[in-house]
Amino acid sequence: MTGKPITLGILFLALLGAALPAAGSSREPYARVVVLPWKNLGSQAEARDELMPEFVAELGRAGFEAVGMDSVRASLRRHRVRETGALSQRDAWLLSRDLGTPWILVGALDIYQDEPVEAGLSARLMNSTTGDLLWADAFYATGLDHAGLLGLGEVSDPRDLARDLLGKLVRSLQRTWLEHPERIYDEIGSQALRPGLILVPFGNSSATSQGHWIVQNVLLGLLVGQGYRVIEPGMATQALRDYARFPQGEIDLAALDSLAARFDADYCLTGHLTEYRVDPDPSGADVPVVDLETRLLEAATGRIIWAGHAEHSGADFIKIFQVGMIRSPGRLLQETFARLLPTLPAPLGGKN
Amino acid sequence: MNRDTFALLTPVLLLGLLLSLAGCGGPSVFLDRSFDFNYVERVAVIPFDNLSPSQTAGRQATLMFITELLATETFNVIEPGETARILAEVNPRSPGSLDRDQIRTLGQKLNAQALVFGTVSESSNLRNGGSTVPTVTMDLRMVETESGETIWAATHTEGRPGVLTSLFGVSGKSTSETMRSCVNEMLSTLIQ
Repeated sequence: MTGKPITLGILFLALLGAALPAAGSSREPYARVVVLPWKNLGSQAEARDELMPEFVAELGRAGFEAVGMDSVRASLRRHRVRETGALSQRDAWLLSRDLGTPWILVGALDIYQDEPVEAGLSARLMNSTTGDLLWADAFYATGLDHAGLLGLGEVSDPRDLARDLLGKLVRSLQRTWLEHPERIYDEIGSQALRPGLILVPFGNSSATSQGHWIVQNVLLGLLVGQGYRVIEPGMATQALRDYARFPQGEIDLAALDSLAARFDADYCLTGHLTEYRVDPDPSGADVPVVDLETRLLEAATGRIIWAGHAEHSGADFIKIFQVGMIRSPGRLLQETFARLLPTLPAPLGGKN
Repeated sequence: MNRDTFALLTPVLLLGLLLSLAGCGGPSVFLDRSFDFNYVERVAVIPFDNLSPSQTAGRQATLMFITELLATETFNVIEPGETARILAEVNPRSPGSLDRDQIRTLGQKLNAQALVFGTVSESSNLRNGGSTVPTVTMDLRMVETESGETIWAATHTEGRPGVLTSLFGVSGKSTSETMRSCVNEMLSTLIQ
């Protein structure tokens, strides 16, 4: 039974050797990264195609080397990988083997719209050998976030917003890479020190059909940031499909057992998104509203050990006049979870 | 305050009081006082029936109830995914219409001492003058799995127009908040 982990470990070290620079070569990139075509949750497909090369260039400036997009597309075609917003274990393995690096960067254009001007980007860096996420983050903004008197500071083009956000994403990745070397070498021994967590897709009865995806992307960023060893959701979803399960917002204990054993996970987080919408306030301004339930299960016992509910409007964050108002639903979700997750039972709520 | 002013204000104050009372009213409750609730450790919540026009009200109410019941730290609540799996094995005509044998089987398979059934009878926005008031009516009952007997039942409507709504068109609560208040009002009759 120990053959598979050892083989995986050897493959990981071989890939790591190829992907990481030699010591002392300061001009070498931090790592070679496979950047997958982003999943587009927005309504404008061309926006993704415009932004992706800029993201890759930004990665290069930050010290990462992206595998050429032609090679990536060829490998995706060869292995018939159609879904690039979430990778199964098999697909991640095949891509890594083809492209010679364990690091796969999965991204999504969560929001992109002209009216009102809004953009949202999320991404995560996966260790294809273990299925763990080394880093995940998401950023959301609207054109009015920094608008002052007489509309000064208002951004009227979502491209400008998106460019700013992708810069923030890349800087966040760079910071994590430099500050958490233990996650890069997790396979070698420190894995057990971090609680392993599986995120089961949220149920969604809100009016926004993509709302549960944005919940997932927001949660991944916060949970990985809090020090959880989070399993790539695509791998967890594929494993559930293997057991003929398609859970949304709940999981049965047989499936939980199997998942936990397969990914060495300690906890499972799921929930339900009830509201994710934008309402006009009396002054006519757009105010986002979110309402959700979430709960944490202990994998060993199947017990619900924590449950939380949160309902927030962007106006809840106003400090004075309109200052502090959150206008982006994505950012409101982040704030909502950022307030909810620290109530997880100790030591789970603590930051690494 | 002279006598004339008082005479003038009295009907207004009475009207206000009546209007405010129209928006209040606690749940109607049955509680089996002979039953020892300490015996109930694990509870399964059966997906609530939904008779309201809102398609999502049943699911929303079920999940809200689970969260609020867990928040009381009184019972262990079985993961709804597990309850759904076992419920599918028992295969009732509808989740809310289990017979005594099915209740017992479900209790044994889930190792639950009690099941909670619920119905959302109403979840809508009622027009009241110039404003709308979210209104939610729910029926809940807890059934002991060994005997199939109901040990607690409650029904409640939350969100009837109160004095503020009637006089000033102020509603304040969202549908979701109204539903949560309804759940909490009812739970407060089970867990003191």
